[in-house]
Amino acid sequence: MTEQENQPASIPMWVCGDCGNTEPTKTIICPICNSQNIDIKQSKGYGKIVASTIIRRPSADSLFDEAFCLCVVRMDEQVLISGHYYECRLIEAGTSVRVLGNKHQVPIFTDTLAN
Amino acid sequence: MNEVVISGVGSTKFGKHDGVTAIELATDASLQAIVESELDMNKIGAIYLGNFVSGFLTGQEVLAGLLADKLGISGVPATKVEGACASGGIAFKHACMAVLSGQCEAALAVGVEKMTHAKTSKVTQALNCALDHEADAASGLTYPGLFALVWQAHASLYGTSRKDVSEVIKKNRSNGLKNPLASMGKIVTAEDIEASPMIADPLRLYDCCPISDGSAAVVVTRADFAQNNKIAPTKIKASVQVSGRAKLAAHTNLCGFETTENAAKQAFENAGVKPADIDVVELHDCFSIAEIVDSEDMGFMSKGHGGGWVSEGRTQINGDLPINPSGGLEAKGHPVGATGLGQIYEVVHQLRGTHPNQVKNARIGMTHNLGGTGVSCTVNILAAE
Repeated sequence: MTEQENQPASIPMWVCGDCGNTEPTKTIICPICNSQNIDIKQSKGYGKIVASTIIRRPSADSLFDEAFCLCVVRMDEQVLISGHYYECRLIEAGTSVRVLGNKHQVPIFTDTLAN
Repeated sequence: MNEVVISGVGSTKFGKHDGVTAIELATDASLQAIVESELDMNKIGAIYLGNFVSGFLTGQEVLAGLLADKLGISGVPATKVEGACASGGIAFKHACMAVLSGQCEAALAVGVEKMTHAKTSKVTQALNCALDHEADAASGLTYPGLFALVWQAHASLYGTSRKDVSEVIKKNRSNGLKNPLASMGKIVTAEDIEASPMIADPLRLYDCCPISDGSAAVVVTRADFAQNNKIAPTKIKASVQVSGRAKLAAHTNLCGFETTENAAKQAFENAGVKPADIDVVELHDCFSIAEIVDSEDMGFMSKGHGGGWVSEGRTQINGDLPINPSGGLEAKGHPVGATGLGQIYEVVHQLRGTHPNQVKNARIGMTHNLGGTGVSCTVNILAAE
């Protein structure tokens, strides 16, 4: 993988221009200060695992039909993002990860050290 | 909120009710509550019915109107309310408001759900309707998955162990043995729990409440309507409903639910009591770890100490703070729309001194009903006359 390919894929965040609150999904009114001054910014794609689990029986309406590792990551921008770890195994809380890409619009994370 | 009281309660058994419709279950529970309240049927001035997935799983909606018709109560507002697993608690809150506002002198709150006829995959799909789909559905999140993440986060911060969480299951399953309304009472061992199938690491099958059918009902009246009743009415010292943020990533951390914290805080303020004044609690243990985080969120102990309280036996029926002497959702069952009212049924019997798992000298009780990923929550504080 080239150095350029090794850069994490970015993911959008909705940032309040008044109070700085950051939301992981489309937001038109800041839930903290009610401002409508919302900007879309791109996360740099790095964060740390808060918790992970293996979903062994995905919901019937899920786009994933096999077991997968669901994780919640606190991005460096302090927003929580849920996504999948690229392998189906538990990841210790505090592990540094980066966004590898997206599948069905779900961020896929990997270790910062992995290629 | 001392101007309104609970004058009657009713409940079906929670569990599997083959060949019985949701309306039949709701009619059964409602009639019990109305008879106990000593009210003529025509005194019921409003009906609030809590239900979550009847349309999805049975194809039947308009349950509130159908129930009014079955009960022979016509010409009154009959309203279905929905707030996922907190639907029953919301129905109760609205019944209180209807009487307090003077709209009527007595109101019926009833909750009902019919689920066991459906395949587990279909029920999972139905329950997932309580997720914020824009934010969380695509990732494949499920409710076991959510509470597995809560446990992992809690364990990582506070060291909450499999042993701590297993003590919740052992206690609640044992409590359920004596409750005739509970479907899953059983003596279980740590080995049984650890041998049960993994659902979402570290949650195993025994950590999950069962899919259930059932109904519970409560009659709320003006205090003066019930003052001469054979059964002393139960005071409603506080009834609080709050909304919260649904998306998983909107939580400040995953170690609890801000909606529970907010609702409990408001309830204590409104009732003028402290956590230490509470004699008995029925709270929303949809998964075993939920009992630990709920009890912390409600302010009964500081964060990170809930597991220790359970392991030390302090939440047993004869402990410092008996939690879920009914067996809770884990052992009694979780017919989603009925659960909040089922909790009130249990606490009312504790305060009357008529519970099969009676807490000694119970004078003030509390209920907690959590909806979705914390998108809605109701908390009630009730007191004996």
